[in-house]
Amino acid sequence: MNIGQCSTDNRLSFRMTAVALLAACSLMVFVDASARGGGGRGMGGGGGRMASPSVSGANRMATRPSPSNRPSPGTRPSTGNRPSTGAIEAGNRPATGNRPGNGDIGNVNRPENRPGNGNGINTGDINIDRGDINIDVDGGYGNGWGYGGYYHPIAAGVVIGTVAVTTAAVVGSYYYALPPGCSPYYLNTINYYHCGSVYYQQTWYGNDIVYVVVNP
Amino acid sequence: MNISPRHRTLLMTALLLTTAGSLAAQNSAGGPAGQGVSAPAQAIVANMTTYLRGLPAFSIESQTSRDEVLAFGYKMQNNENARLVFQKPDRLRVEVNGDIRNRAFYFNGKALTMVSPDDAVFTRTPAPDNLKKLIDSLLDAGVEMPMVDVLYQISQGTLTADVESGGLVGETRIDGVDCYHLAFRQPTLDWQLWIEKGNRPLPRRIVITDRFEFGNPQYQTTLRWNVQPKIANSEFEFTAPKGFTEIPFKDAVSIKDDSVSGEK
Repeated sequence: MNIGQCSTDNRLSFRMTAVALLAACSLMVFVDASARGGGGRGMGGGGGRMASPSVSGANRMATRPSPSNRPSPGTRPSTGNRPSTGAIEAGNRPATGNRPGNGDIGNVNRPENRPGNGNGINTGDINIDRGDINIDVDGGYGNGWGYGGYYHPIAAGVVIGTVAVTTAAVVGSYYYALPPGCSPYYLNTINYYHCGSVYYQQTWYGNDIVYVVVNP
Repeated sequence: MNISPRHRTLLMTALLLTTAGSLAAQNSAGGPAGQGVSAPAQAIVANMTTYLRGLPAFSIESQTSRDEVLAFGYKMQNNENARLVFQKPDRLRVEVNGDIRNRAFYFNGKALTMVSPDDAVFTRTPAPDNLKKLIDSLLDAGVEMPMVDVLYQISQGTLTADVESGGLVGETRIDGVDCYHLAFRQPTLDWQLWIEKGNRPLPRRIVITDRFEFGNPQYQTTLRWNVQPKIANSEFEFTAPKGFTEIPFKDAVSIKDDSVSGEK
């Protein structure tokens, strides 16, 4: 990519909306909060690498249970099952310079194809990229948990899908958001969601509310 | 503020940190807690801990900013406000309103309830019978609670356990109150602490910097204290508003099972 073009586009794309702003060249993911159904954050809010929120968390890192206490990545859907994985690679995107003057790189449009839950949409793209960073950091740092104590299920090797699927989901898989057209399903006082041929149950997981594939 | 003395102090502290850091590195991990921390800094922290533990109850209003380094290198700041009410020995209520999430935590000594008002859901789990185990379990379950360092220090007193080096940087006025400014370095984090001078040695600000995270994201929280709060009887009990649903807690087993947290 031509650096000059990149910075020109960045300047053009600096839309100071009250909600979101972003500048980068090859990996640009720019999502207006207003473009998303949930009304959440346009960017941030779990997508990137967070600063450690506590010293005590870091202190305890060495004594935490091993990652095997958590669902192993092997029980999760393969990368192929997750939406949008391919899009994170810069190579899949048209060069910034080829675009018309509006610097809102093509990703702006992508969320509109997705269901309404904002968090899932925005974090999905970045989560995957974070996975890459995890590997680098762990490799260089010789620490299976990575990161200065910021403990997150994803840092522990757990991958949570962005938007749930309607078919062929693996029981125990986690998703941040349901696809459209799911209907509530009550059984034994528990509220499930019925999406195509798959049932989900809302579950509290660490800091997050996720949807877990179940057999009710 | 007179800049040059402070600057000098910083330089001296930097020297101290470097020396102590290499000493600590020689001793490797597993050494005694806070071995590289200067005596004045140790005394100030100990004084704070004693004072905090002596308080029958307190409430804190905090204002926090937290950096998030996005995949493309942009450092985004997330902000949140939180309120914490604590009553000895183990009653706790925390409410968080922030960019990342809104949450409420209730701990009545028997059960922990976590609420996500935006999702209209809550989860309730039997909890360990004391604050120390509760904090352990929450940290193990990956649950982030604001001001957890304060509670951790009250219940365990080992906040500086992994510190390789630390010292007193100088004095700073935070929210109109004179504070000691302390700096610590541990394997993956640098952190700073401002403790009120005088007869109320309260932590007034905490800054945590990730040293090995790309972009060195920083967490900063400023704490405003009330050491004589009015606490209602219902303060630590959650009553679900209409339309709220209870959902399971994935880590309920580790919270509930004493043998798991007992291993720590």
